[in-house]
Amino acid sequence: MIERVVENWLISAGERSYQIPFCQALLSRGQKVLHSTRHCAMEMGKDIIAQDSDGHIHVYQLKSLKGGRLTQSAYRSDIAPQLHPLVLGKPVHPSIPEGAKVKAAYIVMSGDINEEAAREIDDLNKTLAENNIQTSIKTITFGELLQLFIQNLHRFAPAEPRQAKMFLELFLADGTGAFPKEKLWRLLESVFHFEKKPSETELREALSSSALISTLALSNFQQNENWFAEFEGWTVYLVALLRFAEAWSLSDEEISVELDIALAAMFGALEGLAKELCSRETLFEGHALADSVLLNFKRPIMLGMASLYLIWAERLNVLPKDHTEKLFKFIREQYGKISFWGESAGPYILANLLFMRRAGYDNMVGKFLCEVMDQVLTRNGRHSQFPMPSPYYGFEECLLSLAGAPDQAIEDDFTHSSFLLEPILHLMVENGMRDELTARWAQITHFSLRSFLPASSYDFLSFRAKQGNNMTRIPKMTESWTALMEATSKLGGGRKIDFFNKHPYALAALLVAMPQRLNSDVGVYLFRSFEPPPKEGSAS
Amino acid sequence: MLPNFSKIQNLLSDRIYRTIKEKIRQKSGAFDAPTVSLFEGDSLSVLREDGTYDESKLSKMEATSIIQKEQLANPNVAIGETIEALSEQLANQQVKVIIGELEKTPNQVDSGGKFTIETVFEALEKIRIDFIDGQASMPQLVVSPQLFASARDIFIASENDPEIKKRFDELMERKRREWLDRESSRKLVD
Repeated sequence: MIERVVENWLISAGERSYQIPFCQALLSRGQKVLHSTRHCAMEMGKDIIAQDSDGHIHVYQLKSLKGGRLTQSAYRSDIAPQLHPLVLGKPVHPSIPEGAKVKAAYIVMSGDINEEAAREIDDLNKTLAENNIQTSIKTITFGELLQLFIQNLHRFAPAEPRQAKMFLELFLADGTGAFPKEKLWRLLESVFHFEKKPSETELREALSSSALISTLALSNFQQNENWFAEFEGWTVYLVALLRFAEAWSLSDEEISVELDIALAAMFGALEGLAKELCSRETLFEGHALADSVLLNFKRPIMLGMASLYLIWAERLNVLPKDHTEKLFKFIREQYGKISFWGESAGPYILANLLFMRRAGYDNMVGKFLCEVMDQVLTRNGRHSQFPMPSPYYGFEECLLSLAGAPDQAIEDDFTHSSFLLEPILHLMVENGMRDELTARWAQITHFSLRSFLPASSYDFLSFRAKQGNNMTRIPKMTESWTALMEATSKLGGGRKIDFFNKHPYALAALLVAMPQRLNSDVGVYLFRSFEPPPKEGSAS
Repeated sequence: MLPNFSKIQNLLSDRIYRTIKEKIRQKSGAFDAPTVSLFEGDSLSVLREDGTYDESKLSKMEATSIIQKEQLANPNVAIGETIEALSEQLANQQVKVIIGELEKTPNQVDSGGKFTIETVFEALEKIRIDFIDGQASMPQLVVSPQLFASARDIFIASENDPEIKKRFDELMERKRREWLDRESSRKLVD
């Protein structure tokens, strides 16, 4: 079954779709991926650059043929101008080590090559050999590509009926709605499940299979340029990778390429969404009339994703001039129009706070924190008819319940209870907002401040942690500002996952996919990781 | 197989179980406690305003009731009997847990197995009463089946006793003042 699924997918896959599993396939063949393009303006003619165990460079140019044939004219116009300089001259690319030689340049195609194009490549290779040039041009066609993808998959393919059903549901989803992230999580959990520490071969096979399974699960979402779904899917993949590494004490270096691939895919999806936000005349999607009712609830998501893109791009130093200003304008336009569907909106709020902090919008940080706290105090207060459900309930569950959909009622009682209140409280303390907290303290003391404290990093990285404490904190009626400051100062150091120290934006992304992981410690950690820029005139 | 319509069956069974669950919640002594779902973890903890901390492992509470096929001739009766059986079993388990927790606190009143109006006053003295929108938010009283009749008689008799009414009004006035003091203490200081 899995071969047919991969074959069907590959026939319709674009270059972007099969780039990630192709990288994984190269890794499982012992090549080290030095560069994998994001398909942006900096492609420089090479989609993937890899190095074999002898130190030789292999350059791959991906071509989507949708099951068709590469013609001579397409070869001449699309591929030859990019490949020829690589084989004829000294390769220039930041990721190619000094002195390394290109052994082969590959045209990787999701189709076949016609006779004329094949002969042209043969002729070129003969000329290269006659001139003692060691580099050659090779082709990887549909059949080889298919074989490459499925050879490692057999062992880890979803075979058990329930998993196979889940996999097919993901693969056959129309790709226009929310991504069923829990299903992908369960599939990856089974791929990454080992009774004892996996061997190097098992490790590579599992990693390769997980990338392909994720790609297939996301294929229709990717085809629809459903950026948000794609982002959530690759974030789930990243978290599953980190959890696997945590389980078997693998260092980030051991899975560095996989982590890079996941981060690139996540960032690519964010970038796609950011560009679309800049180019859209309206924000409606799908059924515009129905979507108009949902729009204000969707705004925090778009606001949060745009914010996350900006803080991430800033860290990578790739803020594009053409749409950064447009995104700033988009973000400013959303304020005052947003509605929160539930406490799973928390990570989007946090992402926006981090953006405002980095952008130096100090006043807006305070204003937004107050606005969010007031929303929680009001919406989950005694007289509220529509309290915000806990972060365990997603966008659709909350709104289906709110809309009174049959059998979709959320039966929990959220009155005077909140997961979001305590992190917001500590961020206000961190931001020195004593007066604002004094004005709200009486209301705060009526609330139970809830949080989930995972027992370990492994539990933190689990979609549903087996071990951990469901904590309820009742605030003191009379509290001292000094004590609050002291409590806040102790926060922010509890999460000892080194990867997030290097990539704090990835932690903000994890929260989007797993909002239940937002607690005071994580919130304060991220807040401190995105310090405001130094004020003009201040000492640097 | 005989004609089967699983879609509507699933919908109906889901509704039946939801109804059973809700009725059991109402009858079994889940009291007025808010329902909170736990999605992960293996323990619960509470850090109270006075700084006391309690942590407990999650434990299962379960009850069994079997509906025989013959009973399905009258499904409403079968469901009603199931609700009764399950709620009684669960109520007993819940009361045991509550008594176990109460034994750790000073909030116990030992009336020597008898239910008197003094027991009620003594219990009310020990607990905190809030006043919401001007009205006292009175606690829920749960008595064992053995004491139910005598408790009911005592309450009926007390309603017409001016002495008890006066004592009760005085107690509630004191509770209101305590509540006002509590409310005015909700503040952030240095």
